[in-house]
Amino acid sequence: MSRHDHARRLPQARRSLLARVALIFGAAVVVTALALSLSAYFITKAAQEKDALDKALAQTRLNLLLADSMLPQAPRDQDYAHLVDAFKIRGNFGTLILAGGAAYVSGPDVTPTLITPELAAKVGQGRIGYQTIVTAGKPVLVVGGQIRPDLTLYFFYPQAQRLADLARLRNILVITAVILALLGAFAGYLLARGLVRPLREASRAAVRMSEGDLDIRLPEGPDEFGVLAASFNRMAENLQAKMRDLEAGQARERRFVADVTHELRTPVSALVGEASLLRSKLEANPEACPPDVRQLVAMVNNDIARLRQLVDDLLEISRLDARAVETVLEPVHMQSFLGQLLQAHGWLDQVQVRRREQAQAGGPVAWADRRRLERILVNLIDNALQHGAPPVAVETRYAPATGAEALIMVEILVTDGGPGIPPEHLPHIFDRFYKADPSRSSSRGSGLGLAIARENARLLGGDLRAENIPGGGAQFILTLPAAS
Amino acid sequence: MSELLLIVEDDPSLREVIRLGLEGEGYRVATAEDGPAALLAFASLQPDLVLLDVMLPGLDGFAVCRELRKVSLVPIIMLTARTSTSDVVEGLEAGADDYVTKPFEFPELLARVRSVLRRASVRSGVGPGIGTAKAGIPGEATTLALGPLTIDSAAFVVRKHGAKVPLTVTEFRLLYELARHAGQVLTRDQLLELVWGYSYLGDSRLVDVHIQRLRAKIEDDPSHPTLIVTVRGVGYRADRPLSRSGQG
Repeated sequence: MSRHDHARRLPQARRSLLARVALIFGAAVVVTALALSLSAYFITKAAQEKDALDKALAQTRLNLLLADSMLPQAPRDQDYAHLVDAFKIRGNFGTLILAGGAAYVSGPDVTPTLITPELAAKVGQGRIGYQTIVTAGKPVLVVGGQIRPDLTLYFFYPQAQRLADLARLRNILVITAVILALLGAFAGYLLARGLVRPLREASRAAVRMSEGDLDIRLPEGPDEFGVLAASFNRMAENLQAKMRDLEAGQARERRFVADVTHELRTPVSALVGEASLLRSKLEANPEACPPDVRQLVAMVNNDIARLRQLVDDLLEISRLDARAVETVLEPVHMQSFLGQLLQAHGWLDQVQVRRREQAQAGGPVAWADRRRLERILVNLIDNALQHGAPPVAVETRYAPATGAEALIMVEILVTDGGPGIPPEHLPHIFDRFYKADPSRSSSRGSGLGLAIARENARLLGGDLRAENIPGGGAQFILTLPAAS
Repeated sequence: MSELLLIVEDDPSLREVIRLGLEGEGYRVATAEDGPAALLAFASLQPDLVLLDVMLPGLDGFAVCRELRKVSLVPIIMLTARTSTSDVVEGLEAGADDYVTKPFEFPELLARVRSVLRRASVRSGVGPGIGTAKAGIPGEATTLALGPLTIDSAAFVVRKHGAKVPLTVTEFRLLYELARHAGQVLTRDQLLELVWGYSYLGDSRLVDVHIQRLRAKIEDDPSHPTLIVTVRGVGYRADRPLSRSGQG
């Protein structure tokens, strides 16, 4: 489970790291771009304003000189009109001439009312005055000067074009900043991904290794990740070498057990034959022998049966270890199979068969090897009858759907009414030669029965586990794949 | 005269205990300790049954079994290693009628020997016949027809288009039971009980391998059987092809 959590957590961490780096990059670029844009904008704006003002003042001075030289000593109306016309062709500005009480204008957008009292006061002192006003929604720079007492000229320089240019500059700067920010974020993402990729590879490799793939290696290189990869690879190699040693040792040990068992089998076969023949002869003719000899024959038969069981179990577990076991898988109708099995072993009145109410009329159908299955169940029932207490019951059902697993499983539960398995023994009862009660070491069974049962269950694609029922008693749960 | 059994086993103790036990049951027993000796003994003694160990030095039990099958339909029981599927299947495919796994208790071996000999005894006209004791239906027809086959249970002979088909006692019994229940599906368990005398959880591979061997002898095309068909997940059924029902 923890491995799954691990695998799920890693991409999340990667994603957040990626996002963080991209965000920081994007933000840095936005701040830089903003600072640059704002300073560029304000410097340009100030320069533009100064330039516009200088130009307007220079133009105004020239205009005042011209007016002074062009106007006669006592100008008449047409002289003023003429002057206004003359200024019209000199540049893009409006003209207002205030002579005595009369006003001469270059157009309808220029009126004496536009002149504020402050400007008029400034100009009245004989200086050149200027002011920016807004008329008809448009900014206009008004510059005025007095050339004779009672003769004042004002020039209206429109600023709309200049401000529009400034606005365009501002827009360009904003757009550029946005684009830069996006590019920055993208660059940050690429960079972060480049940084994260080796990390991701390393974590994937670690996960695969934890799943048992010791062949995995990381590409080594000159950078920091390369150093990490080299350490990782060294660790993997050491681990692999250790595993190989361990496996070789285990294989040797198993081969030895298999060989010993194999050698034992021939004399055991002869012993089993001899003892059983001796017993049949005695049974056929009981008077031929004194009672103590009969008892000895019975004891020999018992001990040979135990020896045979031990050799059989050792052989079977050797084969299971070596995976040298073939299975014939077929649908097994659990209800009838159990019935036959209990009958064959004379257990019909000792063991109850229960079945959960389920749609399937004949009970669950497992996909299993009959002889392996019989081996498991005989072991479990025998175990319950010997070590547990009545009532011993077998229940078959389809496993509750877990949702995550697509495979439908059949569960066979073997329960007894005894005191249950002491909690300290529960984790070990499937260990080989584990005896829950050392004083019972001479009891029936090789000590391999449950270990073999579990190996067989796993061989069939299922599993076997044990637990205590809350109300008392032990419960062994065999799961097997269901027949489709 | 009682049946003569040939025991082929290399371990002297086991060979001796089987001999003692079977002689005690009234059978005559000959022994051989390896493959070549077994073939020689068979040729000179013509026993009624061979008990054949798989693990023999030199020529192994499978090879001996194949050699015997080339010249004889004698019933053969293999003594195999425990639960080894490949041993069991290889032994059956080599032509064995049944097998007993080592180690075995003597009564177990005796039961298998008796079961095979019962099948064989019908053939030689000794002991209870198929139609009377085992099938238990007095007055039943002794000749059955199945497609181009005629099965004469009295003479223990199967003919295909009039030509004799050599069948072992087990193959004959298997064909006879299927033909007797023609049109009806027999499960592997039923066949095990009817033919081999197993009353509980016998080995279904016995049935499958013998069906294959039987098909090889009686079907026109054993890979597309028409006389004995497989009913998937259930068992086998003998069919009488309509076009041939009148023949034989």
